[in-house]
Amino acid sequence: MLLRRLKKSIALISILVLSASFLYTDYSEAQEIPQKPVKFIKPIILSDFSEGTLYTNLGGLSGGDDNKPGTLYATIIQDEGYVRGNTGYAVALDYDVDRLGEFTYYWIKLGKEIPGKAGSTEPLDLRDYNYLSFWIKGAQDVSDIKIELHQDVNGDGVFTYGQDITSYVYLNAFINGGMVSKDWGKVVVPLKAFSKITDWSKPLELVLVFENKAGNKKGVVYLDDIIFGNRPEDVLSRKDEDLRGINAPSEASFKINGTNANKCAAIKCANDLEIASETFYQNPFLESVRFEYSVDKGNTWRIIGTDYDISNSLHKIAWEPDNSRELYNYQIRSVATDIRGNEKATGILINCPAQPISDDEFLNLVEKKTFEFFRDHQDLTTGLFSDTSGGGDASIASTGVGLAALCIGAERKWMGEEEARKRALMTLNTFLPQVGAEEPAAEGRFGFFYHFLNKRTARRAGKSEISTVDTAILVCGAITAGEYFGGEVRQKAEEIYKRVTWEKFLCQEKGPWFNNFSMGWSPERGFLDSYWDFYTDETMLVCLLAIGSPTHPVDPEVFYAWTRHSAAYETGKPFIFTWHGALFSYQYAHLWFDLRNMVDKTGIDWFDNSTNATLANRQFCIDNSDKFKGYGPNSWGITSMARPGGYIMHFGVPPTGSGEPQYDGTISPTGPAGSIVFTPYLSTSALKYMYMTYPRLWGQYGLKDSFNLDLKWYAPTYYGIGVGMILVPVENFRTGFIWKNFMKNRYIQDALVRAGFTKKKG
Amino acid sequence: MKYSKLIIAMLVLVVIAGVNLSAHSEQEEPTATDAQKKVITTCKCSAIIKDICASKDEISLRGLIENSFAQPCAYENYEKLVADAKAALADPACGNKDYINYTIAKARIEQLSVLAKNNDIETGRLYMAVNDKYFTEAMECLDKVASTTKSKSLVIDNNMLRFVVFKERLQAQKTDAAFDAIAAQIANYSEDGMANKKELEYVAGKLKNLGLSKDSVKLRILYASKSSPEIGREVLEEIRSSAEKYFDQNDLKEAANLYEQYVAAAPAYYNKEEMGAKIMDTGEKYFKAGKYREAKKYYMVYMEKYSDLPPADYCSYKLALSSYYMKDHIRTISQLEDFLEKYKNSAWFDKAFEMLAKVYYENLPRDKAIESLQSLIDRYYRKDTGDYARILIAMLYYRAKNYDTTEDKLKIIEATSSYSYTAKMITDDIKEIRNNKIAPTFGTDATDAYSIWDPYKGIDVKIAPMMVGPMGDKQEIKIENQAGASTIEVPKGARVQLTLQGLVDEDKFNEYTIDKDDQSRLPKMIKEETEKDLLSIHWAVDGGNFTDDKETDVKIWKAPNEPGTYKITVKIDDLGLVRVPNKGTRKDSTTDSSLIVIIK
Repeated sequence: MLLRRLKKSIALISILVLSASFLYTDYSEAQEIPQKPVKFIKPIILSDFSEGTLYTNLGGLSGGDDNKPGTLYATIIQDEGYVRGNTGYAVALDYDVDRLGEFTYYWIKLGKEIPGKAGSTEPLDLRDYNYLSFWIKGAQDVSDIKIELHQDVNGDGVFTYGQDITSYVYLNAFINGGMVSKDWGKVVVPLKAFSKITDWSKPLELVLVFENKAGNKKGVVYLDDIIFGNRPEDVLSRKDEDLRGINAPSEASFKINGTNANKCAAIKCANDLEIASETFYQNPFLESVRFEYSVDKGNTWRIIGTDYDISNSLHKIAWEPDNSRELYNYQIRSVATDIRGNEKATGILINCPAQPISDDEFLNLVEKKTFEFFRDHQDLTTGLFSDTSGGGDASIASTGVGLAALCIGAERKWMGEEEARKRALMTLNTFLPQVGAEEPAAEGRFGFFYHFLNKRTARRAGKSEISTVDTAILVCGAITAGEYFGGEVRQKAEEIYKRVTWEKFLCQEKGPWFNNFSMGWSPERGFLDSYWDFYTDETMLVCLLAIGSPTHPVDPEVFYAWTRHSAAYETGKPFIFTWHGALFSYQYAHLWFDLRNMVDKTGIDWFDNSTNATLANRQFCIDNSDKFKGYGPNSWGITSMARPGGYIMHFGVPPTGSGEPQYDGTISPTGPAGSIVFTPYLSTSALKYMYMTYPRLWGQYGLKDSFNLDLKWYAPTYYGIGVGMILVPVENFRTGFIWKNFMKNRYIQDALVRAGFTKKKG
Repeated sequence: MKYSKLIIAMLVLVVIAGVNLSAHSEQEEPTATDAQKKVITTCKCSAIIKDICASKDEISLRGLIENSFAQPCAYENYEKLVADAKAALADPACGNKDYINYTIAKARIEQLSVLAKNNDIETGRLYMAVNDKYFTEAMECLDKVASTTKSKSLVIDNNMLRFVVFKERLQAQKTDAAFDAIAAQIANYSEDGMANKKELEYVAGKLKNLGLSKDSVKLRILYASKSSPEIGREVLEEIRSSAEKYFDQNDLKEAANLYEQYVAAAPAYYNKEEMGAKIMDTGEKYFKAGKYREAKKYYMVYMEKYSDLPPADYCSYKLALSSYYMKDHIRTISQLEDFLEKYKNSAWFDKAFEMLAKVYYENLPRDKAIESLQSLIDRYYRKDTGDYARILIAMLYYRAKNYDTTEDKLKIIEATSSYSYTAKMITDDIKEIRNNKIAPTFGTDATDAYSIWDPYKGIDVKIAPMMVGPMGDKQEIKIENQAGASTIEVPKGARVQLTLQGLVDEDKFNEYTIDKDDQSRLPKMIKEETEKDLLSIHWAVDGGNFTDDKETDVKIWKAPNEPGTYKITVKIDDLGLVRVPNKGTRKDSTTDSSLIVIIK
């Protein structure tokens, strides 16, 4: 079901809003209030599978038991009819306990893995909650599913049978009809039923166990929307038939994009829907209010988003109509649900076509979504940004781009400027020694940092290397933030830049790598064997920052010390190509440096060079469109990206330094997006085409990293550098914002002058 | 103090170097740049409004507008044209208001098209700023045309522009609706079929000129569906004939586009047998041209839709053969297994059996290959084919130096078998290995050549070296004869592609098909075909390394970084395992070839 994907934005609770809402609702009238008024506690949405993965909304993993005897395979599905609300995802549990005595189970970790401790789980504090609920349906009737809750006793974060506590109930007693049927049914279990749990701050796991019992030997059940909530005991203990009614949300209060709308023109590509309902304090049986849409006159309703915060009457939910907006007529309604799953819906609130999305609206939407990745994946103690949406470690490259994202967010008012500034400062502090410390919290050497850092501690993650190019990206982000926010942020950003001892990574011995930067260093391997000795934008980025360094400048000749080979793809224009031909390798420096109409001292216009490389990448996809379904004039972008076998850095197109371009039909929207400044029309057309043609490519943070149509595969994970490769270039294309700020920096201007860049003649 | 001086020095440098670094900090509004504002004075569309207002002739109006827009103009030319057109709309003296509205729409679309062709940020921003507005304006004008014009040709042109706009805006359903309308309007253009056809050619030609070749063909097909069956069939045959023309001109992409659409549409106009034959013809055409991927498409369509027609077995065999030539061995195996199961009485059964045996032998791990070959013998035993599989099993043991089992396997092959000679060769060789401790003659461990059979066409192989560039481009390397040896010189670390030339070991066999009129399923020879023999290729080099360990006819060798002289050798061994009907087996002599490489 869709919750987090279609971000719910809760209205500010203010007297003004509450008063206003009462103007058009009847809910101000006194109704039955629990004898002992209790404070509303916002439920925990453990898992709504909205990201299409087996991870919970809290970042814990879930999975099936595939060890025989007795097996259960847990699969994320999005098939209509099997997903609650006909939108988003659910989990299918395909179980087999055919033989006597067999059992199997689906386990859900209630928290994330404890950093550095494989297989462990952070406990979930449930002290403020008193019921568990979820929705379930079966491909057939199923009974006797056991619901187990596991509590950590010894505090190691790992559940061990016998040592830790297991408490269970059978589902039959907590679902209407006493068993799972072919229709979605809501299971509501008061937590006190798990009588053996002794410490509600220590639950580790929730487990559904399937045992070999009559009628339940094999089958599939579907699960969705698992929450922990709190209700007064007298409300919770009432049976379904005793429940008092809830009211549908108020039709008169409905607003779209801020106006009481019956006007069809109101539906845009991104909309704010708003409606008022009863509150928890007026009706404690109410659990949630949601919006739904239909494109078939109400035959099939699909959930847009659900608001579980019923502490106030107003509910605001963001809605983006379907990607392929072929001018459907959209019907919208709102539904109130009580804690047992009984529902009351409004009539059709609006019945209108959505307006076609303009390029600017589209790019704005794409940018905003990618910004949300950085908003949601910054650790608010270290300021580090996650490498991926899958949780885990931070990367300094993602952090560099994240700093730029904060500037964009503030500039576009997607985040308050003060909040963005504070977040940026928090990040920069992590990379600088704090009072009383000799070294920064972030681990590194000579002002360079490890490629991956523990997000919480900022210490080296795994055996990652100290990376020159990733440090360079971090510095670029810092400089941008410094120029944008000014003051203390600028001072700290420049301090980070000044601390980088560039010459330490520069090979100064005569030989094949003379004046080339090493790619990195690690305590285990020393300097890596690889050098930035062949053109790529990464080489250029490292060199320019090193040349411009206010404290450790290197000989500007390093910019001319790497190999530059030029060739054309087919009948295109020749350009200096990179080793693997990946599109990103023509884009990285241009995220920050505005090199339009400039040439280096050998006369090379690197902006034009990347334009020609982009055109070659697109042409290659056109030429190979008969081999791979995903390739075409509006579907191109062979670059580093996720692919079915894992992330790959080396996908590219000819000409390449290696002579062996690699590709497999997977393409990435980051390709055209990263080149939007070089090929604005072609890139925008491609992005829009992908967005409108492949609905599965659109997810929580907008365009996913990559897809392969031949394999019907869409990347499940977002990458910081991937979404950054969309966000920053799109912003540069629209306003030049990142360029303007980055290029304002005096040291960056020095870098270009020292490296011999001049204005292009003619 | 020192620092301030540095800044001043840098500023001076900036000025001297001419880098206007502050230029980018200005607000960049998406407006037409000076370049875009530059008017092309020779632009034909600049002064057509007066002519449109005054024209009395519908045909000349259409030509006038089309000619005027034939060459792209500048952004500003279109601005002026639209301004003139709007003024004309307000002028009661101006006639042909429907054409004026059409001209505004066309000008806007062309204007956007001009912007779309430029790859620079300013143009991109301008496009983004105006495209919504201009497309909307164009659509409003087109709506006015639709509601006012009486001209059938303008209705068609009007829908063409709508089609272009919808397509550009990715509105698929509306695009299809506009396209459908165009086809219907052409079909009802006049009572005269010739005139309709002419209109079809005109519009289809316009689509092609817009780079929409597929749509151009699609329009013809759609038109055909809206016309009488005779006209429909005629249009379809024209498409097929165009496809053949492109094929003969080696424009395979265009040919494939036409064939594909033809095959999709034609069943409505032909009976099943006719259609099946046409699809088979197309597949065969591609197969003969060595375009196995394309050939496969047609064989697959045939198998899917016409597998109840008699030559289905032949098609199934060719499908597998195509997979084989595409080196898709997994599919080859499944397709051949499928063939053997379905077509036990086929004239192609023996060939399919042998090919499957060969694919097992060449591609599966030894134990799996032996198991699969044995299973093949057990399931489909026939004397000759079975013996062929047995020889391969024996060879697998032989190559593993398990000579006892090899002999056991060969003992089963009777003296009357076509493979008895091969069996004897291997048995003799094992004796030689045991008695004289020589290395095995067959396979990759062979050290000396021997000749035993007059080849049908001998192997005369040479190594052709090419330097491989960074983008996969290849450059010839001059071969010199030094002391009787082919010698080349390459730089350190060079990547050299080695291709075996003259690797021809043809064993001819006749190809059969079933005569459609003869349901007795007696095979009938239609032509000869060539199939490669089973060859063993073994590469060796005393320096550098090959990029893979596959024994194929093309290898990439990476030269070492150390100067010196290196020798690349290749040994070709014909295992004599292809059986030619009625001619027994044939075996060429083992051939060695070498190349000396000097690295200075």
